[in-house]
Amino acid sequence: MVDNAWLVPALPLLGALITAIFGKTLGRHAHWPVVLGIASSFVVSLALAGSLGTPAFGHSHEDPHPTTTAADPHHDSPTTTIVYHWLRLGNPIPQPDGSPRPELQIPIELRVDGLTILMLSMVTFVATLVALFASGYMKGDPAYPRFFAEVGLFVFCMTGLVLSNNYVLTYAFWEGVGVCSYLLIGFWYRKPSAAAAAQKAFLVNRVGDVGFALAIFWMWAVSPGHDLSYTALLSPQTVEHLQIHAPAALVGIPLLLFWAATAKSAQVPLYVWLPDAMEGPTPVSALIHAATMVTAGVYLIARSAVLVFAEPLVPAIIAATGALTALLAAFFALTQFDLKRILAYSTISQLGFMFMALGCGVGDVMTLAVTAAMFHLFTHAFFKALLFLGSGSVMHAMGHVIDIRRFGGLRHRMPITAATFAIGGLALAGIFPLAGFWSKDEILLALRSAAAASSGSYAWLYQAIFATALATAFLTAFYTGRAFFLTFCGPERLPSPSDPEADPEEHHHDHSHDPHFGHESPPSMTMPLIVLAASTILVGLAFGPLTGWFADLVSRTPTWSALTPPEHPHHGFNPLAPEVLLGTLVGVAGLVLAWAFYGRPSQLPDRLANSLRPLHSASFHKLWVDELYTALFVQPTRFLAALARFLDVYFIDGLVRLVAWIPRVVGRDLIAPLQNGLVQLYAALTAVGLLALLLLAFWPR
Amino acid sequence: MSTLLAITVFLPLLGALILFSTPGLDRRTARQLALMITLGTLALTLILTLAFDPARSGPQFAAVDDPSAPAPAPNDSSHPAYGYRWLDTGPGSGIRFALGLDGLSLVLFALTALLMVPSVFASWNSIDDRPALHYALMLLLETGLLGLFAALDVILFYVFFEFTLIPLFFLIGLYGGPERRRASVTFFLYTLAGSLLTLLGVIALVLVHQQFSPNHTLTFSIPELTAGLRSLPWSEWSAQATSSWTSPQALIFLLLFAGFAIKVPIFPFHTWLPLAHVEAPTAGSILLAGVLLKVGGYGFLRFNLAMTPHGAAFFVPLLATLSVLGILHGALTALAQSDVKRLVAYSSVSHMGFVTLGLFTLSQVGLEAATIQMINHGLTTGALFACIGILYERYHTRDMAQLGGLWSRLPLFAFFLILACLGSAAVPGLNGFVGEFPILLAQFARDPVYAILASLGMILGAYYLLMMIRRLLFGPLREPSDHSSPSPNHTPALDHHHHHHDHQPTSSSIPPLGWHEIAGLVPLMIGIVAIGLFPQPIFDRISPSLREIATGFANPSLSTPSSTALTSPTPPPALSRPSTTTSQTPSSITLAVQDPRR
Repeated sequence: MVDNAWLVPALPLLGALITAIFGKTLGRHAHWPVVLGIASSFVVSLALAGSLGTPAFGHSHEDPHPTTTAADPHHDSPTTTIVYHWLRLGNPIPQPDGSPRPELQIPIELRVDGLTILMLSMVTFVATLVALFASGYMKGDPAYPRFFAEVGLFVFCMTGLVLSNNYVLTYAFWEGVGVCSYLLIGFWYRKPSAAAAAQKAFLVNRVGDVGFALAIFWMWAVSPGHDLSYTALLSPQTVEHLQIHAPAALVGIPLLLFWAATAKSAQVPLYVWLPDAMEGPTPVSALIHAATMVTAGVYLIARSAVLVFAEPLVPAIIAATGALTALLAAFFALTQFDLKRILAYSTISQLGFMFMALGCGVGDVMTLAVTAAMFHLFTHAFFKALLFLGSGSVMHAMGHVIDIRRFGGLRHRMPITAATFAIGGLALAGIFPLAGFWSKDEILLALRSAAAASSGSYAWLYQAIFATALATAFLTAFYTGRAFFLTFCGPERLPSPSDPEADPEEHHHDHSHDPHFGHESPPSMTMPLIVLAASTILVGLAFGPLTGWFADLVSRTPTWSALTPPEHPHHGFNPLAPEVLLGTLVGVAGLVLAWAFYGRPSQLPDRLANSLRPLHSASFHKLWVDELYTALFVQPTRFLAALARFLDVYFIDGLVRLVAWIPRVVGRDLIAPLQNGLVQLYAALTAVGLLALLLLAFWPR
Repeated sequence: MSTLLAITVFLPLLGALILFSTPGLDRRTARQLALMITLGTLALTLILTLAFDPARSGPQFAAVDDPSAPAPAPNDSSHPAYGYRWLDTGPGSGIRFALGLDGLSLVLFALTALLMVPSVFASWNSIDDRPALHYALMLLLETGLLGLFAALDVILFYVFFEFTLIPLFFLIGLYGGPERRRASVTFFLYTLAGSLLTLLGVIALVLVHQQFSPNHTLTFSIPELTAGLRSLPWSEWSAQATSSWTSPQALIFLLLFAGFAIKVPIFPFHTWLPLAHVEAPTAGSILLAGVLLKVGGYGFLRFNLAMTPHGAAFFVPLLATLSVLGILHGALTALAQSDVKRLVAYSSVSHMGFVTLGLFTLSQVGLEAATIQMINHGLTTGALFACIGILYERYHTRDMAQLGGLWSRLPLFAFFLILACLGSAAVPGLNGFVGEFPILLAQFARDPVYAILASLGMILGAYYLLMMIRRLLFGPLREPSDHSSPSPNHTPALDHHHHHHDHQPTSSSIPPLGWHEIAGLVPLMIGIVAIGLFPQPIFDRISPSLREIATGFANPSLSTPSSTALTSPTPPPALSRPSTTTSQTPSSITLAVQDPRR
């Protein structure tokens, strides 16, 4: 079965190629090859999950040691398959088994284990729904086929990324999803803002990618046998080898990987591209910039957990960065008026939660840390995709107006969108029993356990991060409530058709039959909303601590076999645990406060904003980080470029011209005057020359 | 097969002679004849490529003068006298007309034949003035380049090396832009100045080999020289720790370096390149960037690294520094350009910096990656110059300030340009990645500092390429006003139209891509994708020849060659050379007193 793993990326790619080539012929049906390709790839992913086999779901609830399966490599032997050899170069180096392999050997090798299956099923499930939604949302766009071809290409890259069994292949797909993101952000290429956002996204991600590349170079230099596969690198033997021979690499490599993750997963300091990426079509924001691609960084760190957790300094840095990002992004989200940007900052903030969880990888909290992070990644994908598609549905109905000051009270006109958005919002706020509640609870638990498992300043750090997480949860509930109440509650307001925000440039959609805004979206769009809302309600209950299914699934990841197993395995669900109570309390408090501020027209928000003017301004202008980066990085680069150009023309080429000038001057001013036609001078010179030669020949030695 | 190789090399010359002799030929006939010759050469090259045996090292398809001589055993790395006697130099095999291909030359040979096709198509409509002469010069250049890569004799190599200057000089000088005279003269003199020093270096190599080799053989054969110089029993020469730049290897290295460094070009010898590119016609730019710059890299591999390995090892810190400076300086300067052709020209400086950075890792991984990077740069930069030619033919400007939003006007062009840029920016799955990534990897293993600095070039490279895409393709449509709006009195009917920029009055005057433009770009695009996904056939062919070169570094102590046998499938040359009974004490020999023709 594992040998068929290549089908998962191949089917969406095939769909993308068909759509790209026959798109014009297919016309309005151009989305079908891609939708079917992704959907069948979802089916294959589930079938692959079946091949994981033994202990069935639900078993671990009674199992006193749920992670022992991971600690036993024979129990779940790594199941990999080589599609073909991509790169083989360098001298052959002898292997223990006698068959030499080249110094740099990168096969297209796919791996199927618990972590992969989890990512694959999530990605293909959400992508299928988003593609269906987009078939309604993008209707009438002249570049309809191109959109779906690019989405298919993205799903190919994303599934390849999580299936890869070596770092170079992961890097390849990592950049591949970046290219797809670039193309899709810039999908409406006529819009200068979209063009700028696409370029910014690619470049910021390139800055991160360089870190990833350097991490790979470093791994290649220090790893035994120059082997870059997960099977070899993420083994206890390699970690031991590095602890003895290259201890610096065990800090440097994980930090470089995390640097890459801060770009792809939009963390401080490289998060700045994600809010701008909202210039892309909303289904793209839902799929790429909320549910899947931006979680690649979390996946990478979780996959490399064995290396990342080797030195306690590294997880501490990751947790602190995650906490800072979560708090900052939630703070920015408080005052934004662009519904999609609120959700974008919320995504950044939630990704921060995932990194907080990953940062708990100390002592016997390691398995809980990766489980909690991946669980939040999993639940977040559903409710954040739901929220984005909901905002897309609003945008569709409002003629592409997305400023929440320009509309309101839409719950009557758009009941399905309002209801599903409410479910997504409650999940984001972490309200029982929705998906977000369960995963946030796990993260808080992990943070408390990490504080207990560490000592000294690390313990204080994790306590502080726990407090930050609670504060962020409060802000999250508040801005989510604000967005929902402003959009769907209060008196009904609609943008006028001549609204300047309703950019005619964007009007590829056939609103021609519909001069008035504010109708519920067609079933092709509401159906995915309903399915995602149902998932948001169910996944937490079905997979969460109540059943232990999720922990059981991800524990079947052999690359985690070197993680310290928990001394007191935590399972089940304690509704009276302090983090559950605190988490729920701040969530409810945030929602109540939001209702008091925005539930009905009130002067409260303005008065508060006025009394906290500097704070409000800092949030509204996002701490001027974009301006700061422009001054710190973009402007100096441009200055250096201008300087290089100047030096090139006037200094380097000037030197060349100087050298070329010398023979001319010598010829004109020194040699030419000698050619004056005076025979006497010629004769004299000849005599002198002859004399010199004779002297040279007969000079006594 | 040796005849076929000679035919392949000289078929373009035949075409050139026909075209030279019929200067009045009209454009249509001239370009069709040129296309036929080019495609014929490409087909013959394809046959050679398929017939090439990747498992063998050493030159293939080479004629051997003496048929009675026993065929060399597979493990014997001594070389027979290839080719035919050309100039007599007394005893020894003399200067020979010897052609042959090993894996390294094969891929560059094939690249030349391939890039000629888009070059001809790029000239299809743009050359109106004396078309026969233009195509004749191009074909002459092709013969020069093919011969250069196939030459097995140093003098023959040098003849072809200098020969390539002449047709390109006339291509730029006759068919170039407004400053074509200055550009062609600068290009000619600059490269000539360097290559004369290279000639001195080559002669020095031949003489050193004659002086100090056990048999005092005077040979001009490249394989023989390489093997002989590797095992030269002269301690000054073979001293593994070359400690000063005045040692013989280091001095000869510098002489050889001069010409090739200017050709590549290595920073700071690059300033002729942007000028030549901007003024050259599109076909000239494609061949200049695509193949002529590779001559420098090829020369480094064949001469500097293969024949003076200790000299190379001595200068590695300096050369790697220059490579990194070239990468960063080229990228930054490209960023500051608004002429798109100048931008691509400076991007060549940056990308060739990666090539030399890979070469001067002096490791097998670095050499293989640098070689494939040369192919990649040929394909992507060739494609970029072809794209710029397409633009220039339509708008008569290359100024990005005057152009914008061309995606909506020329969607297929946008696709080609984006693909070429992504390939150039080393996006995995496309060709640039399989070169750039291993180069940096090998450099990181040698010295991380250089790799870290060079990897900034990855960011800057993406920056200027994306900036070019954004300015040319994204945003609202913007076309030069003098060209695109023949009616300055704006049609009043359009004024009240909301999408007036989508309905430029000239939408019919800008034609979509013609078949010849597509036919020129498609082979390059296929190459960009195919090498990105399946680079292994190329690596398999170049690795044996590069391994012969890299063994010079893998085992610095040349006196104990047995240890290289661990890493090298073929025994190093020293083992298999027929050793003479009385080898002189090398230190007692000086060039002045020894008569080589005893």
